[in-house]
Amino acid sequence: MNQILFAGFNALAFGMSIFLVAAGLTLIFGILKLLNMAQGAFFMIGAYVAFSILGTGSSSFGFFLLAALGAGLIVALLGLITDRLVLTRLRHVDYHYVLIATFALMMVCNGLVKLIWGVEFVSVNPPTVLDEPVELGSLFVSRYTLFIIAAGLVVYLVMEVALHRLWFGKLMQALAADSWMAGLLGLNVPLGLALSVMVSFFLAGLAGGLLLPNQSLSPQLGDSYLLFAFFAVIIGGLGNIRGAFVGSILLGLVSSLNTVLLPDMPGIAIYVALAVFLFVRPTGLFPSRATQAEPASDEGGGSLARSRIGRGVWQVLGLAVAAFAASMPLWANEGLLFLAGSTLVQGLFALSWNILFGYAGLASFGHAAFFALGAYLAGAVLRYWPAVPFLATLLGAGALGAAVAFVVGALALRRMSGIFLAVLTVALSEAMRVLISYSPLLGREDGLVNIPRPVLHLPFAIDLTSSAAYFWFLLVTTAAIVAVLWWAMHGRYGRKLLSVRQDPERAAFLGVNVTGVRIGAFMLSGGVAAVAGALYAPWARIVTLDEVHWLASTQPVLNAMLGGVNSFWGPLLGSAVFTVINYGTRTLIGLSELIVGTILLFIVLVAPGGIVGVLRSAEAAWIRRRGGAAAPAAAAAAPGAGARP
Amino acid sequence: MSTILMSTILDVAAVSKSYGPLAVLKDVSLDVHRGEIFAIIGPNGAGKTTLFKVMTGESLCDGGRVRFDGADVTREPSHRRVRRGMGRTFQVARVFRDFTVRDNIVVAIEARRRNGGERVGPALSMAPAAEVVGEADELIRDIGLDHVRHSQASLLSHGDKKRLEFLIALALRPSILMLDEPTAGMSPSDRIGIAKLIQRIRDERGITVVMTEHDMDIVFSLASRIMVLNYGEVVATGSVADIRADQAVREVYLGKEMYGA
Amino acid sequence: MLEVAHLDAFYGDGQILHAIALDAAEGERVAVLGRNGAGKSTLLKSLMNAGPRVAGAIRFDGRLLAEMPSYRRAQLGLALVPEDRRIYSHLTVLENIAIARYGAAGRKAMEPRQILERFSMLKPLEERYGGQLSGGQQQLLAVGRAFAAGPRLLLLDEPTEGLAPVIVEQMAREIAAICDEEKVGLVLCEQNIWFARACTSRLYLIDTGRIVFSGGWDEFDRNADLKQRYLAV
Repeated sequence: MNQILFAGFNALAFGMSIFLVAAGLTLIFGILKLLNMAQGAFFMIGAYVAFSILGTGSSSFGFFLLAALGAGLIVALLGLITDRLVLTRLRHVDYHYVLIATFALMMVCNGLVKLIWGVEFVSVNPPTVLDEPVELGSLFVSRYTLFIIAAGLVVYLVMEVALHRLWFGKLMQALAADSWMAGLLGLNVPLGLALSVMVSFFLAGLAGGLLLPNQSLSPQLGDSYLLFAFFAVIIGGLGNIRGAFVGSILLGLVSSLNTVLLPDMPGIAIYVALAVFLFVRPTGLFPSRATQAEPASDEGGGSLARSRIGRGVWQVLGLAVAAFAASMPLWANEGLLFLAGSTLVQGLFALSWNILFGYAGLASFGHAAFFALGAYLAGAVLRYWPAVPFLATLLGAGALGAAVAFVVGALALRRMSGIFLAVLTVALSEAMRVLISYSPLLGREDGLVNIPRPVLHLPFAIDLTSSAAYFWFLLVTTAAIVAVLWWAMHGRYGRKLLSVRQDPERAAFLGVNVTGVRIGAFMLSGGVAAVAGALYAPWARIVTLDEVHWLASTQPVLNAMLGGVNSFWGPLLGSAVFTVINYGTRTLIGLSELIVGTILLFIVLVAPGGIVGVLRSAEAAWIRRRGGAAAPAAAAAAPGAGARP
Repeated sequence: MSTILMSTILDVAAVSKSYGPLAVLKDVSLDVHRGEIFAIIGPNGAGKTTLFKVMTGESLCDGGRVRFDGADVTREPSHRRVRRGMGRTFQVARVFRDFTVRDNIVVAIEARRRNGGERVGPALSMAPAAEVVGEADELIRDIGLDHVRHSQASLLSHGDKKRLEFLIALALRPSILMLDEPTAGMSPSDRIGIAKLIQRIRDERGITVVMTEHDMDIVFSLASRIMVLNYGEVVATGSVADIRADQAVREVYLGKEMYGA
Repeated sequence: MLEVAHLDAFYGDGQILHAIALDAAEGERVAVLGRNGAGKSTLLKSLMNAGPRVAGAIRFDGRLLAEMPSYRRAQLGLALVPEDRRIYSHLTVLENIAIARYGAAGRKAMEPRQILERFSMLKPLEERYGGQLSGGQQQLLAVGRAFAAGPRLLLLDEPTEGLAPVIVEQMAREIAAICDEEKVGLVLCEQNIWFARACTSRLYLIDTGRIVFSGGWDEFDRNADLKQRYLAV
């Protein structure tokens, strides 16, 4: 009995901790329709700010509260700055770009935190008053636990009253429902939106301050809370404060049950619960009243415009690049060759991501899960079952990737909104990371090392043990896959995908099963990503948990955005360019997140068409200047259309 | 109209639908005969759009039944109904804006062939099959969009976009066409053009037409039968002459909506 | 009160309005007639800075509005009722009206109750949610709501679209009466000539983004070809 009660208290406390983070998340989504991937990072900044105010020693209760409020205010100010610099530019942009931008923002924040506060774990004691247990009957509960439960309740009640009982809430609802009309009625819309952003960020900072004690504070803090907060919000129904509250408590309960029933595998039940929940009740507990029809964005996003430079020129150029790459083992040193091979793999990986984004209009933020699936599969097979033919392993990896994509896609895409796919893919990669870290076969935290390179047993044996041989194999395989994809994307399959991307409703009235097509595209994308991973394992000869880290998931997004998502070749180009940038800045170790995040943010805000986009505009301008009859089609299909208001 | 044509193609029986506390459709029934032009009229907010969506599968009704071409399609999603022969246009023309006019038709023809289990084209070719392009061009010529065949759809004029949308629907060879306010937001000359087009589609291809429309001139000149909807209820159904003479309809259309609340 | 000179308006690369000149004196009611797509809605939205990119001079009370955001214009006394009404479906009729009082910004606003009295057909509906109203009721509410801020110039965008004839008659009487009483000016964009005539004292004709005629109704009637050329059905 006592044990159950104790577990109950823990469940409630954990649930309330999640809610404290989820409150700001759901508020900003409700009003701005903005899923802020950086919410967790700002929560973490709040915790660090409070830590800087408090120091490590014990403190009085009042000072502790003051520090939390201070953290909230400072983060709210940061929110205002973020709003001015970033969010205001994203108000009329396709939501995928918003997701990518806030994702980049999260990386920038994480990088900054590491820069300012370092990477060491810090821990802070609760204030003296809260640091001792209370006796409730025969039960000892920490006062801090009770405090967190109370804090969560207070935040919930304040928000509930403000949004649903006060006239102020009506104004916010009006702003949220139709800000254009609100402006026509004389409401100060910019102020209202800035205020709601600030309140949302204040809540994040406050949560950081309140939850600081009893945590080991490290730059990873934001990730886990963010994910759970996302889950709570999805379970509750996006943008609904009551839903976030109930969802958080449910998650707390599930997690608590997990500790009691499955103590060996902490944290796994939440993922299972989420999957089951989405399957049973995809709209959440409190679905928003205004059904969110999928807008056919009127900005021409998906036009995969053709260059006006003749195809022959490009063919010659392509052959030259291929020949150059093929010659590399003959003259390049081991380090450079490794970089080139990794670029090939990353290029393929980025291409797989962009099949989903550029052609099907869906974004995955956990694509590393598929890559890692293939990498671990190939690594394990090569190490433990060397008799299995490597080509079969590659095919198996592709099939496995596609199968997992099918399950995730079937869960996420029954809802029309791609936001679910975004969150569920993040969840997938996290769940995989958790699973792998439990598996001794896969090397737990250390990863798989000393992966042997294969020997191909065709009618004749080809030994791929040497770097040169495996590099050539990599080149040929990548080229073959890219060729097949190019053919598919430019044929009727590509046409079908693009028609769904441009206008899903219209496509449905061609008799196209839109959900089916999307799941299919996700399977293709996941399969190719897994093959890329499988190719990578014997090349790097080591596969670690880094492969499933969200930073690894960002890489294909970044490469594709950098090269240009509106072009088939963009992701490959982006991967090459990124390798060069990375090589150029290799001395700035530790700043990778900051650099990558800043570049990504910069691209989304300034040149959403990527390098190809910039080139195309330049080409169009050049043709116009030459007085040639610049075809209006070329002008309208100009890149960057995807994110300009 | 001959009796052979009098068979029912679309049969809506006692359909109801609510959004929260508001009942948008209350026991609405109608049957559309093969080959006729059936118009649904009524004041804004009478439930026309909802009824339309229930028939096309974009929303599912709370109660009642929808039968199309002899099959119960009440719970079927749109794409299944399309495969049974239902075509649709939208109030604001929806076309694939990044494709050329021809490619818009090509994807439609390819979708139709795929749906029907036909061969879409040579297995390995990237370009659409010659017969698909041929069919597309013939349709384009027939409807008079030849001059913009290679233009990007987003650059077409309002009227041409609407015509293209009709073309996309026709390329699927539907047995019934559902038109949601086909002349909304059009200039008078474009309206007349679209009305002629609808008549032609019915006469030459024998396609049944169901339409909602505000322009009474168009409704009265085209429709074989008219249904009047008000507050989610059927006020009357009948021929143009019947409807024009109906006292209840006159009242509804003459301001019942304002006084009836 | 309102002076517009050489107004151009753009959506993306496309220019919708060309060198529009238009004015309305204090309390004056003018109509802008034109076909669909002639640029009527764009004109009204340009006056509010609520959508299109605008070049040219818009003066209100002699003051150049330039880049002023739409909520500030609303606070100055401009009130636009958009074509699609934009009623808040999750707020009640009374709340929909009350929310617009914020646009009064110090001017004397009309009490929500007063507006319900004025538009008596809204009275029995005051507790209903906006989403539960019929189209005609929504239109009436949209107009009523615009008066809540005590506007000085009302901008109406095709209020009769989709309404039954008898409601159109009723609305014409209501609007003329309340504008007279409250001394509110009106710029009315319409296709319905009968309605426009009943509400206003003079008119502009707009075609493909250009003003092609400006004058009184008498003059308009004398030039029968105007109607034929620019509004013909």
